[in-house]
Amino acid sequence: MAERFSLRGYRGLTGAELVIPLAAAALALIFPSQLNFLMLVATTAIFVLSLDLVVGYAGIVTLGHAAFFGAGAYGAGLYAIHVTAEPISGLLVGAAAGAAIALASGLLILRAHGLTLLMMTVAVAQILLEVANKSRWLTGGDDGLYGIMPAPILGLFAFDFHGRTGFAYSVVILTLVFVFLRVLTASPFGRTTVGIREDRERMAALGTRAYPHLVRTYAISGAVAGLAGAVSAQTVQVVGLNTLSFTMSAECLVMLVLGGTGRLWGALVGTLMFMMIHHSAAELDPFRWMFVIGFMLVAVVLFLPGGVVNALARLAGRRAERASR
Amino acid sequence: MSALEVRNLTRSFGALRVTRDVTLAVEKGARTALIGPNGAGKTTLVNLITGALRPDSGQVLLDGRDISRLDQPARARLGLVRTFQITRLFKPLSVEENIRIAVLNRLGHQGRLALGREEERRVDEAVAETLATVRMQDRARSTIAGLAYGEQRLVELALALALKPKVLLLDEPAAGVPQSESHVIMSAIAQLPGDLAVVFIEHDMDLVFRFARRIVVLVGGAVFTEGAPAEVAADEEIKRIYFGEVAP
Repeated sequence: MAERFSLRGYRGLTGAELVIPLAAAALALIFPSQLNFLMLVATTAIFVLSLDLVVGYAGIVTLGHAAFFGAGAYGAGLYAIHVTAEPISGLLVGAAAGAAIALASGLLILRAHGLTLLMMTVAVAQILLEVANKSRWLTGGDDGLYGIMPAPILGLFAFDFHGRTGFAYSVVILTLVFVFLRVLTASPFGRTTVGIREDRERMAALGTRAYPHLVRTYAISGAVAGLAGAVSAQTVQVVGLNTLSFTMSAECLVMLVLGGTGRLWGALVGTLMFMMIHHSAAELDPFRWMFVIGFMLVAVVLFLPGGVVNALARLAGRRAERASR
Repeated sequence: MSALEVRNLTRSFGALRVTRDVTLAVEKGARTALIGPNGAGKTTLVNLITGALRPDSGQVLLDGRDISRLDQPARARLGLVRTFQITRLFKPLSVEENIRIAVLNRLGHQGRLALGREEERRVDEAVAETLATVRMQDRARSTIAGLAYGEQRLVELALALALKPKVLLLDEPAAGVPQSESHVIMSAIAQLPGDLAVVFIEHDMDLVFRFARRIVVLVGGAVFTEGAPAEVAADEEIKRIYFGEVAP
């Protein structure tokens, strides 16, 4: 007999998730000419969320997460060109591509730890990059994959030049992904992931095998990253080798560290901060914008260890403690 | 049939033989102390029994079943449970969340994305019951980092108890706890279920003689002798080897 699921099973949800569409709507109203940029922020945020699951919750440090983003982007792009331009099924194809690559590589590399594991994550992404580069007949190589023309979403909303549909589309998916990850991280599965991050041997003594659980977590994260890649392919309508690049992996890790790991909100705040600053600093000085980012990263690591969101949470905790005295 | 049986367990690290042909049996309801000077191989023996380490040869049997080929998580699920000499807890989480992780493991829910209402209720009950066993209800929401060391040792014990073990291996349960607090831990151990087989490593001879009904003396990785506390205490050779070295 199917048991009814209690709301308590979804205790990760607080209603605060509504902040995402509301903030997105506010940003769209304030910066109506920047919808294409905001769409990029939302898409990147989905990817950084997937990175938080691996880095923040599972404690796997990676510099190759773009492998799954790129796999999703190329998967959805090729699907749109060769199979059907229907976008929702394209999302599923992107997620499946990301999950498949994450599962296959996770099975291989997740027995390793520390620096060895870190190097292997880089290697996986570099191999994929090289494969995409050499398969010019399929991927367009360094010219990029062109000709992605997604059909209207649900047959109703056509993608437009100003990015209105694309922006709304990416925000809806971002919100759904965020809700999913909140539920996942609060679930027994998510608690087990945190337990493994904190002490693998302790978890073994409690009866949990870390390796298969980490592989599963890695595959789920790969699916979310692939989904982000698919959204990117459909909204930007071109897929370049940069989707698989080391820079992509590294920049998104910086976004996560800036915002704060292991809280999901950190991924959103970090992405927004990084991309806003990048966007405005690059406009002011296209050659030295990295200086601003570098300075900010040093400041956060030194003065707000754990990232902006974790620092705010500590502050709020201290206030509550003082108030309760 | 013994709750736990160890047959001819042997393990070397390079040329160093840390466990030599250890054979022992622990009955249901036993309170067995494993003692021996530093470096006698007590913790290694616990690691071999629980499967954290693989032996070079020998067998481990739980309730008569050969579990030598099972890994540590599988042995834990069968009820062979340990605690650690230095607490290994999930530091950023609360006491309640730590225990919840153990309970989820016992109920086999650790990989689930959601629980049914009835399952959720059973988990909550088991967590509350475990908290009550170690009398930490009022500390349930504190993070581990906010606890005194003695309290952390209690949580360490609680994680093991949450698994409802058949055989419980306690590696120096009162290690590092100030004398003034160690009675709390020992009274928690004294109240363990009567049919549970308990093996504990301990250096404090007062505690050993208060709780043990059987003592196994390990020297140089091998069982030197074993017997009732009175017999062991009377053994001149043991006094010379062991008590002579650590007695005040």
